[in-house]
Amino acid sequence: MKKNKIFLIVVVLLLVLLNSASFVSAQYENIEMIPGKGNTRTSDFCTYIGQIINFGFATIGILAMFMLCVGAYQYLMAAGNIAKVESAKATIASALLGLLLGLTSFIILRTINPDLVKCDLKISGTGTGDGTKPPPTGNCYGGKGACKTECGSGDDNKGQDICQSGQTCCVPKSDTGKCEPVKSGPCSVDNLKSTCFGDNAEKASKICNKESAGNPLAGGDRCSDDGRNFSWGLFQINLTCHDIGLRCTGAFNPTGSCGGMKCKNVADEVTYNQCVQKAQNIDFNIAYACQLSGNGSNFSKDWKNSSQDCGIP
Amino acid sequence: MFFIAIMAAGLLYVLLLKNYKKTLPSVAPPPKASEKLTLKTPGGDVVINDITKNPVSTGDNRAILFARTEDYDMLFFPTDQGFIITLSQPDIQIARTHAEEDFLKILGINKQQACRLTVSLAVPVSISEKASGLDYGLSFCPGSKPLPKDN
Repeated sequence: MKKNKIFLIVVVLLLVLLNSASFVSAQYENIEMIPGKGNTRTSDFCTYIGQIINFGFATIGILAMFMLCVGAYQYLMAAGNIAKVESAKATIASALLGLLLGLTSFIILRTINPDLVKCDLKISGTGTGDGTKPPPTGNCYGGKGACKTECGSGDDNKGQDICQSGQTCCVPKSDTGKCEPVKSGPCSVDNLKSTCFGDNAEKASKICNKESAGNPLAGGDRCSDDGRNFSWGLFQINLTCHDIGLRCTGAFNPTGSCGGMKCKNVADEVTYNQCVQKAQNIDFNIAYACQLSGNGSNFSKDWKNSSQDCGIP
Repeated sequence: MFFIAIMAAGLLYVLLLKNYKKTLPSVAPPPKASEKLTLKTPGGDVVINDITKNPVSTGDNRAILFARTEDYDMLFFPTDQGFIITLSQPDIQIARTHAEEDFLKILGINKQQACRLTVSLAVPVSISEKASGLDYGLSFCPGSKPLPKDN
């Protein structure tokens, strides 16, 4: 009973801490290193949690191995005593079950709801979500626009973007819609017409020009720590967001860093190289972009900025 | 067996990390083109050094990366005989100057001949959001555009 009370108090305290906005937005740097992470200090809460989880996985493995040894020893020493043999078997089975549960917990959580394994501290309506910057009041749309309550006649209304509630992002009309199609190569209009883009070939060619300048080997967007590119190929497929059949999102640290949280570094070199090679493949890149954009009918979801800049929905 | 597998995986991981280079892709020397390539253009044939002989990389033979430095990538597309120069450093003015000089040297042609070729010069969005999306062309050719001054 006493144990239950302590457990309950600990859980409540943890929930209060995790939900505290002041805790999230506090500037801090962890002083105590996580074992196995060397001297890598971090001021990023999500990275810190990730390190603790990795340490937890290692601990699970070690403890499971220890309990397996204990069970095996009990089994050997049972000397035919049925009760002791059963007890030893139960110990071994529990250790294996614990190991299995621990190692598959990530998959189980992700299957239930992918958001359960994402560390996203962004709080709706408070701006950038990194806990350090105040809500934006001025520039938006990559610095080209301004947050206003109403756009003027010479402005394009770009929606709320990163503006506060009640404001909208206004970009001068002269700064939008300036994109040209690629003249030659796989992203030329002529070539894209013969692909799944069909009648949307010109739109797709403009997006391709904006993203990679028509270079099928182009790498863009970089992880913050090691500077490795995570967007590749003609349409700059974001490998932190798209598995492309190779579990590419798992090649980065932190895993699943798609969206607001940027990757720190490449964690799995072999998978990363395979993913880059696949994303640079001309036919695959075009087919995948086609699939994401509904054959070129909607670029506004996966190519939001380029779609806005080129004036292509 | 289990431990051997873990140890082997660990060793492989360490070796891979050790061999990983953070440096930029290799800078390609101008191709040693002993042969020439003739490109047909509306203004007549243009004979260039055969850049397909020693490429930096090929994308299944449809895209030949024949020069790469920290300033630019240069690609040739045999299917439509077009060229694309993509600038790859934030100081795009300097990158363009270097790219155009090297383009003439590598192909072994003069400015007039270069202007008869289909050449696009563009900037990916990861290098400059403001400059991306347009084809600037070779600055010494008719119809070229100036790069935006501040990115």
